[in-house]
Amino acid sequence: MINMAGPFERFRGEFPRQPLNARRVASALEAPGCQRRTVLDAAAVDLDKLGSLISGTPRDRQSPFAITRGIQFEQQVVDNGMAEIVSLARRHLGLEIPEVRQRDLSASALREAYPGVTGAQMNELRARLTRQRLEEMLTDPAGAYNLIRHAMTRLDFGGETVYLEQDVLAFAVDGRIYVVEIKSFPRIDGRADPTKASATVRQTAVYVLSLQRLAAQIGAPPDVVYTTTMIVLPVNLSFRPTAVTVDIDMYVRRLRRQLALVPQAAEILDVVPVGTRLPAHPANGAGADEIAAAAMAARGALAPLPPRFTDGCVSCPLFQHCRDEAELHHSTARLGSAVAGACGSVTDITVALDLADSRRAPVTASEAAVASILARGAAAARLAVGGLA
Amino acid sequence: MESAHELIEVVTALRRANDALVEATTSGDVAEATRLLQDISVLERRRNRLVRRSSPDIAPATSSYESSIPLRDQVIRALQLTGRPCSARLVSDVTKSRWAERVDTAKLSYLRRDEARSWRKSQELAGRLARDVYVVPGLTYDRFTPVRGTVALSTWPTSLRLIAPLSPRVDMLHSTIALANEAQSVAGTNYEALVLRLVARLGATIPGVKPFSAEPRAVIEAARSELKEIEETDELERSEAAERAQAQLDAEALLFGTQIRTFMSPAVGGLR
Repeated sequence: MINMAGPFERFRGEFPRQPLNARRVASALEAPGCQRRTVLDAAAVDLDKLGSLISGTPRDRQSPFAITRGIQFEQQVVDNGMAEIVSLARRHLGLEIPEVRQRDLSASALREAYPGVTGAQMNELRARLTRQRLEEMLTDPAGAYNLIRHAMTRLDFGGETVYLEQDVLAFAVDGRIYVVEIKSFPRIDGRADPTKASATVRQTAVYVLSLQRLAAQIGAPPDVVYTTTMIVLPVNLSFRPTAVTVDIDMYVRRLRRQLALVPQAAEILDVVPVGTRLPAHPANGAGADEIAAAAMAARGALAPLPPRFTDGCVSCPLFQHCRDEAELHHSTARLGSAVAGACGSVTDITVALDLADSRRAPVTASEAAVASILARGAAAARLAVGGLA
Repeated sequence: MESAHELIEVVTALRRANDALVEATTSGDVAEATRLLQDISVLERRRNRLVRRSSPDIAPATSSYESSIPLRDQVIRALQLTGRPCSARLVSDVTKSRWAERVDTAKLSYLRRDEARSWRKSQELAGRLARDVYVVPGLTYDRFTPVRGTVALSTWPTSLRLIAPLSPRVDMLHSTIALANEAQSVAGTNYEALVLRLVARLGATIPGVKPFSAEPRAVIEAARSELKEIEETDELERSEAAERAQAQLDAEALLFGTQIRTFMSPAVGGLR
């Protein structure tokens, strides 16, 4: 099996695997150009486990109460023949009154019909049924379903198949397909938490992209899947749903570019020393020595993979590790994307400080430019601290 | 009129006892307070009896935890009210607002299994009488497999128990109409406000109904006009499916649905 495995599997070795989901694919957008993260994603490494192994602290989980609330809200919104979704889709997506033909493709709904189908087979079955439903939309729009609950699509992430579950697909008979995403964070006075909202938008972009690819496979123009998506949120602190439509075209394009770069991640592994691989995860109740040894080995395996430390990294399970590493290397990235951007090709904090204080003569033209900016900044800082006197 | 006289007496005694109770509690006389509490509860029961005897129309105060109606009967009663297949959630909402009782939706799947078992027994044993009505799952209109979390009554025509693409919406509209009618017929009782609230919640998703407007007649009208656009297609799809079902299925599958047997090999993905 080891012989058959690709470079990513070889790199992961015995470390636990975690199938990718939409959030994780979307994080390719949060950490653009991070080769370390790309390799770990393409190898489907369990990042939470890796992060907590290296940092030695268990990772924070989402509160079970928050999860329950999310499930309850979603349930309420799709109850009674998706009554709330029907009403919101009519208002925001322009669905006509008769466009309420609906079908539930949830795993739990299909289990009634297909007992004994589980796990990967269930995902495969759902992806297949979704494809059939999509084909109907394109060949027989009037007889097709307008609202599909929990559709499932596939996306290729560097050879790894990711299964994506859309909350609801809405289809207007005149040939428009929309992704509807249900979230339980509130929209208070017309505004939602920007961090959560942008995470939702990136996640939804993954759904849209995978659907566009599916449409293309069927032989339809990909733009039947609209990049305008409907996000359903509770109003204020109530449980009453409201919806906003967002055009996420920009994110879909960016995601497409990012995904095109993923196969090249294998080339990153080409330059990594032969035999570099993650250790096996220590078993439950393993001794402190064993855990320390595994953590050390994991750090060693990550070392040859170049990270790109930016502001988006906070949500990554490896954040602590990469930050400490950036600090150790005096990297300007440690000071945030804005500072790193201002310093341009000068990536070392010590060098930057020397340039600012004219302790070091700039060598190249770009270094000279950075030096002049930094010198001006340093002069301003001196004035601010010491005053004009 | 004698009972009216007695009622006044009891209420006066009750007031006196209550006053004494306040005094005993504030002065810290525990023994006296205990005695008075017992007296008061006896008097209250007498008062309630008298009130009911004088005007039987007054609904008795109910408390949900005293409910001893079996789950099966609760579900059947709710379905008879809505007249259409319902999600477990709607059954529980209806029961809560119309009868102030709780339905444990988690137990609904056990109920469905018990019903199927009981039906099978009644077929096997000749001497055993079949029940009048069984709680059965709604069935998909193409494959006749059970629809998750949807219940119906075995006495309904097959076409009503089959769920075609438009059926969830059509059934929801019909249930809303039934509930709006019920709200009108329980007008003036304790249940009116609760049923109205449910009607308003369902009705808010129908075009032409103002949010928070719980006017049953407006909701009925709006639901009817939406039904006008979709019901015909739904009836057609359902009755076609019902004909196929009658031709293909045995008596048990016609009530409790079929299951799709799958033989799959992951390599080929051979799935039917």
